[in-house]
Amino acid sequence: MDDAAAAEANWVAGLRRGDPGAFDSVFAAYRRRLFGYLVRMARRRDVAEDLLQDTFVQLAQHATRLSADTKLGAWLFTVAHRKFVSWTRAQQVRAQLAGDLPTGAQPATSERSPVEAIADSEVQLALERAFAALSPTYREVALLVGVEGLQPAEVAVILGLRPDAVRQRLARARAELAQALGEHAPAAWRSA
Amino acid sequence: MSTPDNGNDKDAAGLADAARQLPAIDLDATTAERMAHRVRQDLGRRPSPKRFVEPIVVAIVAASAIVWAVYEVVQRLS
Repeated sequence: MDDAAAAEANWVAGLRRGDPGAFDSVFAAYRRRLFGYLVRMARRRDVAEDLLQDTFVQLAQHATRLSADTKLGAWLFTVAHRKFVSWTRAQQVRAQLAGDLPTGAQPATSERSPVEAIADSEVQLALERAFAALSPTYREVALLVGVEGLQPAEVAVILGLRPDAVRQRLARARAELAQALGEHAPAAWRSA
Repeated sequence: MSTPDNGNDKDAAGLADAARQLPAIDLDATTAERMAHRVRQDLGRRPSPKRFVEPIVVAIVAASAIVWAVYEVVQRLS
């Protein structure tokens, strides 16, 4: 068992005992990754903060009932994904009731999104815009595999998809990103 | 020869390559501490059973309305 797996096993054991120290370690280890994923999916910091808190509340409430072999990363991203999907559905219902535009078709705006606002180079800005331009289904797979370094098989479990569906979305996401990035695309993509 | 897995590895590697240049996003320290403090209070505490009250009330009202509607239809037909 490598160090990361051993640390994770310790955290799970601590959570099962209701140890606040173990919870703090998990919060510190996963907070940034989950928040980055949620901000880039929801494209709103306030919403991402709420969904992040809900995700950790669910962990806290289930802590003592986790199984000993729980993979915390996959568990937390699964919960975060479900929170995001629920929020998206609620937004769509609210928009329909208000006779408003659906959230998936946000009007173009010249203002920078929260993630674009922290980009401090032309390349970063191009990347953020390229990720943002992907449809949520492709963006989610691209973020989980590309940014979070999860294996496509793990992503399939998190999203409740078949592995070949993840592979297709991955290929499509990469192709759309390469097209959107143009000259900023990684060298390997341009030569492919 | 390129296999689906090879293509998939290339897609994943390419995405990781691009993603490495993305800026890190994090909560500010105050928000993070406040959130950790708030969530820690729920550690080991099961979700409140009160969350079942609303769906149960809605189910009872809906079932009553359906029973009433069926009863009315039967009454008028007979």
